Amino acid sequence: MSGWEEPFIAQLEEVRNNRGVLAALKRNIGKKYPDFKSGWLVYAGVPNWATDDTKTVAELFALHPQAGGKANLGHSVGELARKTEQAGGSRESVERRFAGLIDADKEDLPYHLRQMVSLLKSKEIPVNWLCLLKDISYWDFDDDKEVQNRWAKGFWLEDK
Amino acid sequence: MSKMDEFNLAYNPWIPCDGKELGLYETLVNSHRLKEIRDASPVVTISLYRLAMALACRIFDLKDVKNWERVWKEGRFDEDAVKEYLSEWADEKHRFNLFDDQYPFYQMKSLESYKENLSDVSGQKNYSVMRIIHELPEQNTPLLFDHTSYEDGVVLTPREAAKKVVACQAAGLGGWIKEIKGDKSTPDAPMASGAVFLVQSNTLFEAIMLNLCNPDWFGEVVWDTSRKDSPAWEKDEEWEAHKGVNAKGNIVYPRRPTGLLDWLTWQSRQLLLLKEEGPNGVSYSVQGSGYLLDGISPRDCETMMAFERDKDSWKAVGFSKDRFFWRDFYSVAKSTSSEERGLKTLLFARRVSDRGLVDKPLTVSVIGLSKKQRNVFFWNREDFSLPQELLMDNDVASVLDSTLSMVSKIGEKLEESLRWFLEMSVNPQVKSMKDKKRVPWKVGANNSYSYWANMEPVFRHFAKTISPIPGDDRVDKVLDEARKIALGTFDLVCGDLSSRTMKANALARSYLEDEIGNITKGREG
Repeated sequence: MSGWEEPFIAQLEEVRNNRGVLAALKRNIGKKYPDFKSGWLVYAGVPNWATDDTKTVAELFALHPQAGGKANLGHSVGELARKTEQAGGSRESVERRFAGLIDADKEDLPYHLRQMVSLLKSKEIPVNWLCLLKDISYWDFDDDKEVQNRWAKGFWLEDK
Repeated sequence: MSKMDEFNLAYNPWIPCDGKELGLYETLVNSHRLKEIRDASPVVTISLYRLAMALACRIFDLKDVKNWERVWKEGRFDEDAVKEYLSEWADEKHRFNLFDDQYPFYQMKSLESYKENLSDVSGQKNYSVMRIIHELPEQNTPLLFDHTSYEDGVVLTPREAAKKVVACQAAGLGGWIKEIKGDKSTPDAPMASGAVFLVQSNTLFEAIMLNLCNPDWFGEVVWDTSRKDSPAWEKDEEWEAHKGVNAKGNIVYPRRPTGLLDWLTWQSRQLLLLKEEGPNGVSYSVQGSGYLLDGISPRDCETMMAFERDKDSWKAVGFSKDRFFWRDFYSVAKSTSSEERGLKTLLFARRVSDRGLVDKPLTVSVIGLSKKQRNVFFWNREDFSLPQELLMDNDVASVLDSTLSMVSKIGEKLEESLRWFLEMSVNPQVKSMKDKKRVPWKVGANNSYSYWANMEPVFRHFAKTISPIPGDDRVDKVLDEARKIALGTFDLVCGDLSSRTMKANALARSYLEDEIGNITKGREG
């Protein structure tokens, strides 16, 4: 099914400034079965195989709802590395975290993403949520690691 | 010698032509009806062509360009002339008998005393006829082409022995030869050191004629003109007259060829098949040092091989296990306009085409060995189309040259980026091409192999259909293909990614993309 990602992200952007909804989403972080009590988020139209991915993105969005994200997460983390270095911090530590992120398998990916998004929030670097949703949907699609490769280019080529 | 022990190369069938075997006489007089000589061994094939060329050159005095043109226009070798010559030299003087009592063909009868050494097993091993066969191993070399071992030995029929003798003289490998007392080594035969370019057309006659170009027609004469030029089978044994000793005290036989006939039949070693009486084949032979070019190099005499600068000398262009030959072929082919470097047979083909004597596309078969000293890695034969446009038009040759140059540069940049990728994968501290932390990485395997393999059909098609029309987009298409293939090869080699290699991949691939862009825009990378 194509085109399900845009409507879902559009929903998230609508609740960007709704602190109650964001708080409810944050409460679901780490839970296998989200609390859908209030029905504020509609998962209709999302394919079954993508349910976990949309849950992950929704929770990350709740952590860091800032608008204006660039191409892919690699670019955002590249910007993080530069800002960290400019502020006197360790670029290498960002690189290590990024290497751990792109090395992660699908099961561990949400954990690594939470850490990375927290860091991006700390430096006020936005995330392109639509791009992120599509990317994690295809994280282990084939052996070519196309998503990971694109993130790597986004991270290192911005800096070359 | 009984009749059964004779083998007359003029009339007995032994030369493979179009699926059948013919003697020299039939080969020449029917050459306008035959397509080609072709043996299972490319080395034997090219050696037989040289022999046929020498015979035709001798009979019709084709060293004279006027005679060449006359015979070319006749379109065939005159049967009566061939018959008359062989009547004298084969029938009366027995110079074409492989096992003759006095003048065995391409051999030296005075070596017969070495037959005494066959009485024991070690003598039999030392004089095994395997030593004159390119595709069989010697005692201490690895088995490559054939699992016949020295212990097994071989028995050659007279037909096979004849082919091997001719090939040994024309393309025998240099190296240690200690079968004859006092001899230490012999140099490579004329065609052993590089690839031989054989121009071909529709018939064997045309191939013989097109490759019969005299170096004299191109410049300074290097021959020993103090003696009459003649082919090897017309000479009496004259090794003693040239015998000398070099600075290391080894026996050598330095001399200059007397002319084209001598060079085409150059005796690169003293040789004799040690045939036992009876109908059995040949199991033994003895070899000694051959003639050594004195004061000149093969480039001065040879018209069928291309040479390139190697420091202060010229080295024959040849096959290599690390490099696809099409790159060298087109580099040689586009040099026809530059006489200093150009391959003389191609220059000659151009002159002949200029005069309107040839107006069809030609084929060039390139035949040779890839070797290191006496170790043969492989032998090879590759055929290339040679359109008239490429042969005749300087503008077309120039387009080919510049396109080949860009394709080669893209290949070099690919190899560079692959090396960089490997270095960064091993040492993540390396950040750029100029980083001092870089350790020069000798990439053992040829990782860009796939690029050159995939570019070959693209470039061959381009060269075959090359056009002098300005604005033709064929060059752009070739470069576009080169770009895709280079990036595809990079992704193939660097595709198995981990977080460590992804950084290397990103940087090295980006470098490659930028460099290809620079090259295809006509700028240096």
